Amino acid sequence: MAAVIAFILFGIGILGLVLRRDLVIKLLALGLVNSATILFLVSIGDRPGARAPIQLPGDVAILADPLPHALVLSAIVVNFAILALALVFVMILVERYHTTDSTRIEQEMVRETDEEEKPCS
Amino acid sequence: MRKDRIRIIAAIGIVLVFAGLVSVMHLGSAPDPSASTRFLARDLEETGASNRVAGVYLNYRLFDTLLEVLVFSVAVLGVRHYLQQSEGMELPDLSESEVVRTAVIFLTPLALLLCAFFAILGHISPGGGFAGGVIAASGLLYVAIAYGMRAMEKRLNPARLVRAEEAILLALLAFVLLPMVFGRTPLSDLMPKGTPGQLLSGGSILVYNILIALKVLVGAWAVIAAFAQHRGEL
Amino acid sequence: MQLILLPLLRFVFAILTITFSKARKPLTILSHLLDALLLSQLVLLLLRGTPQAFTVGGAPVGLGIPLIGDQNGLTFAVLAWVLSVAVTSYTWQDGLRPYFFLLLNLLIGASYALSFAKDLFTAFLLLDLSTIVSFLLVGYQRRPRQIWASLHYMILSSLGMSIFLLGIGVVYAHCGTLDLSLLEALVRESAGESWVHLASALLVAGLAVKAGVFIFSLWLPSAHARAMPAVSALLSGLVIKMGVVELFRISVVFPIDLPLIVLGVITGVLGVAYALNSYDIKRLLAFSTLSQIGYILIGFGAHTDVARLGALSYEVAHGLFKALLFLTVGEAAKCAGGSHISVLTANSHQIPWGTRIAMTVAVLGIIGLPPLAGFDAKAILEDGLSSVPLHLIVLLMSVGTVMSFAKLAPVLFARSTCRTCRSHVLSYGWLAGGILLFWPLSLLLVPPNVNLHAMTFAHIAEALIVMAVGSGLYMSIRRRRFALPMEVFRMETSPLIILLGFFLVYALIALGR
Repeated sequence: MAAVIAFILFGIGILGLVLRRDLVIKLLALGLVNSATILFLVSIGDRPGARAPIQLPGDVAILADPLPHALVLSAIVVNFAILALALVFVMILVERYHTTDSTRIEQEMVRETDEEEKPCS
Repeated sequence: MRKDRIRIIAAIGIVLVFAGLVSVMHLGSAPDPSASTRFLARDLEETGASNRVAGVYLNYRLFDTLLEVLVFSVAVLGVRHYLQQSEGMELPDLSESEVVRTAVIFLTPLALLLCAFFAILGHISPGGGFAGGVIAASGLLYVAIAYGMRAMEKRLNPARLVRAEEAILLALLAFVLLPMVFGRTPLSDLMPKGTPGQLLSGGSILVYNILIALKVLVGAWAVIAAFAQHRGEL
Repeated sequence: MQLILLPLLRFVFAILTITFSKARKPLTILSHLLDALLLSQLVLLLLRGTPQAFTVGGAPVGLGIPLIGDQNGLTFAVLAWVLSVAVTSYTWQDGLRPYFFLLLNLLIGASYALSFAKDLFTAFLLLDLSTIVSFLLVGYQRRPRQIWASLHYMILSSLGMSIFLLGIGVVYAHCGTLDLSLLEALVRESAGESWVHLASALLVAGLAVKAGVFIFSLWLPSAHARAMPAVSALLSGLVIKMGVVELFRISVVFPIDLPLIVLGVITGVLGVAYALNSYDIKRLLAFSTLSQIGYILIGFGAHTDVARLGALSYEVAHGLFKALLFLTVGEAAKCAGGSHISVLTANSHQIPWGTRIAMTVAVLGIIGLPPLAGFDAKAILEDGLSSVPLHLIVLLMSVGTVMSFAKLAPVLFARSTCRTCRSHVLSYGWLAGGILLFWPLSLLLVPPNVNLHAMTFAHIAEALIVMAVGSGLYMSIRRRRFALPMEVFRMETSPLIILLGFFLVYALIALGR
């Protein structure tokens, strides 16, 4: 069940990435895609009646599988890194072209020739 | 206009087919949850940590955690490198607000305490260095909002923080080098394995958690401070 | 033990270059020498027949992360070392900040680790690390077009890695492990089940975004064309191959031969078509990279031992001559004042003669003149292909490559009025030496009977005919321009095309039974 929700969220994220022109919204949609993937991974380790995988000696309860949780920890940090860096680049572009619209930025870039292209401050 | 509409319909169609295909194929293949018992079947005493997840990512799969710390460091480095070249702006002045200043007196020590709790008890209960570091960094942000970024920088010198970050990263690399290269030696357990559930248990997991919490604290604070000062103008 | 020391030492050196930034040049030389020592030990072990295998941290099998120093991995690691020496010497006098050296060292360390890793999630993290580092390297000079290309790269790469991660999830749900050696047996006993198809398609689609396959890697032309020359050399020579190496590791476990061949053909043909149409030399090189990856994928997909050796040789050969091309073209563009073919031709006397010679060697390598690198690798590859249609397609790709590079002829044959700077000469010599001496050096990788068999009269004649036909066709279509869809390279359509590519791969796997 959680897996299906994860796939639907994944799809919504891709739609947001493709259909919205604002760069910041595109990044948020990418974040949604990443979160959906993480949800899917967590749902893999689930089993009927499972508890969180904390176990004291002598405990005999059913526990969830710890490996997907470990994968998810790394995946969250990687997604954070990607989002932070992408946001920095979006900020640089927005300060240069004074718009967050990706189509307008592309048009501006085509209009500039190579000689006029100087580094962004 | 028509071209746009075709694009929208095509996009929705493709995404629906994708989500549908993957869901149907995944659910139809009947994954068997009880098949994956590899990690749970091991003894608790092998890692010594009663938090099974910490036992996985700080013991068996330590290399993955090292790579992830490197990814985090590169991100912090990149953010700092790109944003330190533009003009920074000061945070909105809230020094007149009694409410904010009073709240900070509660919130920041609480945040720092939570960070210490997660880092030190990461091998016994849920938490771990990453979550703790981020909480502590947000605690520092509360102080910056209340008293202004210049006051913060007087106490937490950015140049010295960079040095501290490099030192912590080198220390982490030094501590993980030995167990990764030589395997299970007596030297690779920096703390005793002990009985799971006690504070002094879990081998080196405690040391790793503390180092990671410090690293993430310094790194996340650098990122948060950079973004707070360079908010981007249209 | 050397297996884990190689990447770890590189990471340590990376951090040390910013801590002790004054000493970064001696530190870099020291790290290259250490790597050479460790790599040669691993190669000796491999040649003796006992490749080193190692589980990190001594963890039990199936729980820890396995590393192995086998032939496929070591070839890539040696290529990484060769290219790192070349790029370091090229940028020696450029006055780059310590930050650049940190990124470079991290990238090389990640390449070493990826060439040895036999675990799916470790591969995911290493590919993400290399993506972030290359993203920062492409945007190093802060020009708006570089930043835009980087952003596009990052978005598509993140999407691709998420698809890969979905595949990892499906695999784990059914197998309970991510260790590729254990997965081999587990997947074989459940061959034909629907989850195998789904997982394989997801994994291939995710990796293809990084590996330079035409439908998936639509970020590549902009990113490779607009970056600094040294960075483009690394990206085209090394980072692209990381995706390909991982695709090969997966192809041993999952049934993806047919998709590999089809994707190889698509990217080979389409890459050459777009390269023909490009008159900006860096864009031409980037499209050519897309096309050359086609050879490697066809070789891996053909699943015979000789074809695999051919693909590995081509991996190394392409790394060498594409890196040399990017480095020399970068310097030429700087001297001539632009990277468009017309500008280069008009100012070709300003290009130093050392650069020009090196460029000639690289171009001869890529068009397949015997007995240089490209001819050698292609011949071994063709020996391994058993079906005639595939052979014809490979010939077609070679003709297309010759046609695309024939544009450079007026740049190569002119008089120069200036000299190359010393550090560049070192890196050009290093790479050109590898291209010229490829055939004797490849005896380390390829057994002598295969190697000598490639040097037959039939192959030589074929290569010369291809060159003649290519040049002739180029002369006849020289004045015509034809229109190709460039819409697909925009940020808004590329994610959808990746999904369409996923459907294609899934159909190929599911119906290929």
